Amino acid sequence: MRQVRVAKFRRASLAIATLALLTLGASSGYTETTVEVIHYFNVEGQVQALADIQKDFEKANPDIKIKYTYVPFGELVSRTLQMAAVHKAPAIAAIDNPDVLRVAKSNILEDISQEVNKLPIWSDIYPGPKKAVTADGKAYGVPIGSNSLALYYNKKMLSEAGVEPPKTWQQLSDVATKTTKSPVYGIAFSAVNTEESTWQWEPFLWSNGGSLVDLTSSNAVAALQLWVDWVSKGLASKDALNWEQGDVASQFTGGRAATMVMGPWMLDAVKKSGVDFGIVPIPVPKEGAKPVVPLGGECWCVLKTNSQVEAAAMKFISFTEEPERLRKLCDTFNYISSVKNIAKQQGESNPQLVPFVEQMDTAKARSEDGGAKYPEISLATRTAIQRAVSGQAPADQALKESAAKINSILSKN
Amino acid sequence: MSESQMTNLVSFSEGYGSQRSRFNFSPYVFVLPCALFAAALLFYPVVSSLALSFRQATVDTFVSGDMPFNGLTQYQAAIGDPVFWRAVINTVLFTVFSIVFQFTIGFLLALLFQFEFPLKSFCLALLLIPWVLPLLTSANIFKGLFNEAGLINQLLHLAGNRPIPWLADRQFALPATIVANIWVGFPFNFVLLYAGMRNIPVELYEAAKLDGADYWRRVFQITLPILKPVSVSVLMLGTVYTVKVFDLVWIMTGGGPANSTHLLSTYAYQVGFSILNFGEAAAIATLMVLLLLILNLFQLLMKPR
Amino acid sequence: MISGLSSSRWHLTAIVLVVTAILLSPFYWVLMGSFSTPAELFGTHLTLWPKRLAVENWSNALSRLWPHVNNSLIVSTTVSLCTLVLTVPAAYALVWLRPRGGKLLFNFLLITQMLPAIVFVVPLFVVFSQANLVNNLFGLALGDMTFTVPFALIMLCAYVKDLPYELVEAALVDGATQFRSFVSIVLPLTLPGIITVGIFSFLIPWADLIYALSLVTDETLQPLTLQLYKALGQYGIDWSFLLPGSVLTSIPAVLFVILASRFILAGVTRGAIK
Repeated sequence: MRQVRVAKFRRASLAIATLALLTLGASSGYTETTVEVIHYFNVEGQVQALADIQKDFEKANPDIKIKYTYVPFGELVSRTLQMAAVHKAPAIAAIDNPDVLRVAKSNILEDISQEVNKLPIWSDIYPGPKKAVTADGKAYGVPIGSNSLALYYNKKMLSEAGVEPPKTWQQLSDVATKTTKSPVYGIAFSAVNTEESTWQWEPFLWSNGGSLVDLTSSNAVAALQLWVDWVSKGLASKDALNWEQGDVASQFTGGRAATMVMGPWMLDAVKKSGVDFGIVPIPVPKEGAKPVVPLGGECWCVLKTNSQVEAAAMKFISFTEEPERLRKLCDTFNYISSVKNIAKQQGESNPQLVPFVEQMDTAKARSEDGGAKYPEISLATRTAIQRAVSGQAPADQALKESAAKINSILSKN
Repeated sequence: MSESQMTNLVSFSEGYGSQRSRFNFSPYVFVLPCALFAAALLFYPVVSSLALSFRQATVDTFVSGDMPFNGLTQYQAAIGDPVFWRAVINTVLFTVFSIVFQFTIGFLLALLFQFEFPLKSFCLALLLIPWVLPLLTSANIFKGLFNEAGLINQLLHLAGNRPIPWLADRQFALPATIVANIWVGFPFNFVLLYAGMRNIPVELYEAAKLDGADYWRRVFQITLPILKPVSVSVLMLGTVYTVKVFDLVWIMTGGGPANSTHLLSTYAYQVGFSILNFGEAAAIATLMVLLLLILNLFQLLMKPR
Repeated sequence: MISGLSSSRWHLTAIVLVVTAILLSPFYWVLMGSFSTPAELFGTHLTLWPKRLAVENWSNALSRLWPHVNNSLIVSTTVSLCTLVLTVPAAYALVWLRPRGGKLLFNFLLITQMLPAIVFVVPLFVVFSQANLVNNLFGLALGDMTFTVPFALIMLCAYVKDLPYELVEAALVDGATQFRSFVSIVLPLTLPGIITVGIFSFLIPWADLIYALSLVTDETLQPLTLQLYKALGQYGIDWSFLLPGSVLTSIPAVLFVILASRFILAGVTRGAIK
């Protein structure tokens, strides 16, 4: 009975679709291509920027129509997969860079190596973002922009405590200790049970030479111990286990934290809050070491549809990656551009962005640790983070258990 | 009503009380639309989910469609995972405590509302607010209330106690979510029980009053027994819905800290959508149904049919 | 029927209002927060009421949500009516006439209630995509009904079972006027139950997020809940939209309940415990 109903629907919609196609084909002189772009940008400024790009692009390319489809942040990957599974894939998906390789593994992304080499900016892209979209010599996406993490600090609180903005871990702990005074905590960061906590921990792990695929190393243990000590000594709130980065920022702007680990996307909000703040690069374990921060930011990925749609999609992507337009896009989206030239320009016009720009040279793509398996590895990692920070297990034991899980993930095919 | 429907009603009353052995069309007419709906829109997803639980359905295979059959592997993986069992225990605790309090509060309120008083419908509507408020908001509100700097700790502080890291501590996180769930769920029990109580004829109470029974005696001897079918349904549905609660816990704790507040629903979601292993998620969902059937077995057997 | 002095009625109202106030206290936070700026919400001093009422939160939320009220209304009303149409006759038939397979249907529906929503959403998305029911309000209504129909049937069976057997038999035995007695005696007895189930069948789709999320991507067709979900951005929660938006989303639902509950209260006056 159910099959009859579904079959009836299929027949009906097939008939309607055929009719529609015929009439469309008959009425227009040429076939118009619709490029559907699926994304999760919903901040006012971003939406406007996207609309402007759409207008300019359609004017320059009258035979292509752009259609934006918004999905909530956590749903993008699963929605893209579902749409591909029912053969209604969008033309372009703006995928968060650590997910690109995983989605590529499902075979729904087109290999665009040839096309991207024709892009003028391609050769000027930082090594980090490029690694996030390439595997086995093939390119599966084009970075739109990047961001990372640095240390915001409350100028007033630090000067009152008589400390300078920290450069090393020791100095950071020192600053945190001296600025912690109820109800203010010295430092705020996110250790929540989502990707955000792995992301926030990575600067400390990687700057100390550790890696997610070897969590038992002493570098990793030391990096986690840093966080554990902050919480156990009362320099950071235990609620960090529940804070998403938005909550961390609220703590800082509300005057409840003297420093916070945060990225450039919060600049406007923090400026608006009236707090007198400064930004320094992520403190490093020892003097002179280089900070290694994780890369955020989305990439345009082309899905396998048909040659006409894919060609139109590449046209759109190249359009957005034209230097001037890209610069404007990155500024509106609060990205640091993945293109060296443009990033340097951004740093020159806005000194507050300089720490982020400097860090781009050594920034690392998250999927470098584990490739398509990164999301699973991240899940195991944050379990260790949560267990250690909440005091359920000592850092080295928590990491050992997660490392075992990660090894089994890596050995699966 | 049309002619044919009138005819149906005639045979409806004729079939009523008469020999069951005689094959009667009309009940099937009444049930058919509902059964068709179930067959079309409910049967297929259930079967497809069951099928999915036996196949390796991850990112790579899901899209291509050729998900290889791998038998009980996913069930074994789920059962072998200590987090799964943590989730089972949490789900049972969460459900039992939520139901007990929700039902009690709902029942007492329903009793209270049997009296007539001014502004009654206004108050009824007000009391539905916790249920009507988008879960997104309720969950975030409670998350804020249970924050280290939140209202509840402030009240504790006023009472001279130390603040408790509610959502960051393994011991307190689950109780916090239970409190939130009680708040969200009591109106459901309240209204359904209230409607059930409206049905009880006044004469029964009058008679009992004449016999000298006081208020609570009347409640225990008349209200409770007559309300049994409704109560059982409310408890049963309440149990089922509570086991399925997802958004509330996911938003408040995300299953943390360190997987200590995972319910089966949040765990299944994490497996399905965070690491995109749809097959294992389907297996967990099926195990969830088994758990529910066990929890409900007593009620199912007792169901007065 | 109403015993006691007339002054005791307000006495009761006072008690109920106090109980309501206590039970609803978290909601106060919602109200207070909706008039605050984000900085105030997380500031170091918790105030009982914000210094300045940030009314712009409300006007902003209203303008963003207003275009979508229609969508939610259409879906909820459709679901409520269709659910009742499908389940009310079925409930009567299942309880009194006990057709073969009735128990099977009942238990099957009960089992479907036990499965988490994601089990239904993904297969339905697949089927609906092919039947062009995606991005279609009726499709969304059908999706929501996969939850309300089993719920309604289970509850209605219980309410119907509640009816005193003799009353029903007496009403229906009289051949000439059975239709009239059905409508005037049997129906009103179960009306509170039917209305209640109808109310919940309205409220459930009103608050639904997961079906709307999967089945409706077209901006103009999205119901209120999806719009509200936008408050959960990449960068954190937009409280100044979420809080007033939640209250605004709840208002029509609450109004609807006030209206519909008059049927439960006014219709049958028999059920008061004295």
